[in-house]
Amino acid sequence: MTVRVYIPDIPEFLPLVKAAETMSGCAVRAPRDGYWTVEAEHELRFSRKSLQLGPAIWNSALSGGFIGRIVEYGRDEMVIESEP
Amino acid sequence: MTEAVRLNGVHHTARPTWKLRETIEFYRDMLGLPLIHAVSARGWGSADHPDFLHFFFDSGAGSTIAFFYYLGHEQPDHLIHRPKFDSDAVHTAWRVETAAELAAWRGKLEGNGVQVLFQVAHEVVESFYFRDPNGYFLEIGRPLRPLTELDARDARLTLQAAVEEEDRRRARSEELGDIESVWRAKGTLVAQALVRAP
Repeated sequence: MTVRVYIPDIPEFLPLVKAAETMSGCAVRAPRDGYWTVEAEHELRFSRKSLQLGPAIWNSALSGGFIGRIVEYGRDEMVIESEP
Repeated sequence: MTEAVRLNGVHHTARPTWKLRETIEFYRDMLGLPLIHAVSARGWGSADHPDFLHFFFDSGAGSTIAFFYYLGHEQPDHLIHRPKFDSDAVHTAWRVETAAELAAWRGKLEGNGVQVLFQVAHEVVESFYFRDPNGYFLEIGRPLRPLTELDARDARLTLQAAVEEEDRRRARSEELGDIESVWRAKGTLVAQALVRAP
């Protein structure tokens, strides 16, 4: 199984794409139909502080939709895993 | 043949007030919104309708914000504004164009002793929030970027995911109680759209 996040190709969400491009084991696909695809085999992990996102965008960061399940989504850390 | 119909902006929104002087002083004198119209009338329509004032302040670009003041009518408990997220969902958000204008408005309000509750950059607008003498929630914001066709398409998918997920939950006598379920449903919709995409 894979975990996959769709990120709308609009400016406020692009820090997530930039972060994903530096993560090992993570594939980033250029936008198709308006959505970036960020994919990993087991886990995706984002940090609000390193993304430099304010609370509004951080709390809507997955609004493009995702495949998987959230195992942690606090003030500063987000972990999404593939479904078993 | 049916002609296409469209709206052309906001003429007015209206809310009741039980603080006549304070409301006029806040909107006209402090915010500086010109008072441009006032209706004063005997109660009419429903039999229990009190005599009333209905007055309008110019909030720019052809829009107004209006109030009703009902004479001799005590404020009912259910219309006392309670400062919580659900009551504050009913609010007025005014638009300015630049960061400098936003800062100038914030300075003007704070200079007049109005508490700015918070300022935040949302997805497409940066805003700050405050209250009028009635407790009503007010917002002044500036657009951060123009809305695009992708914003509209993404919005359609978000609401489609939410409505369909809520229907599925209702069919199981469950409620839709978290946004993760919506995001997962939307992920499935986006995946399907990408399969069909050229």
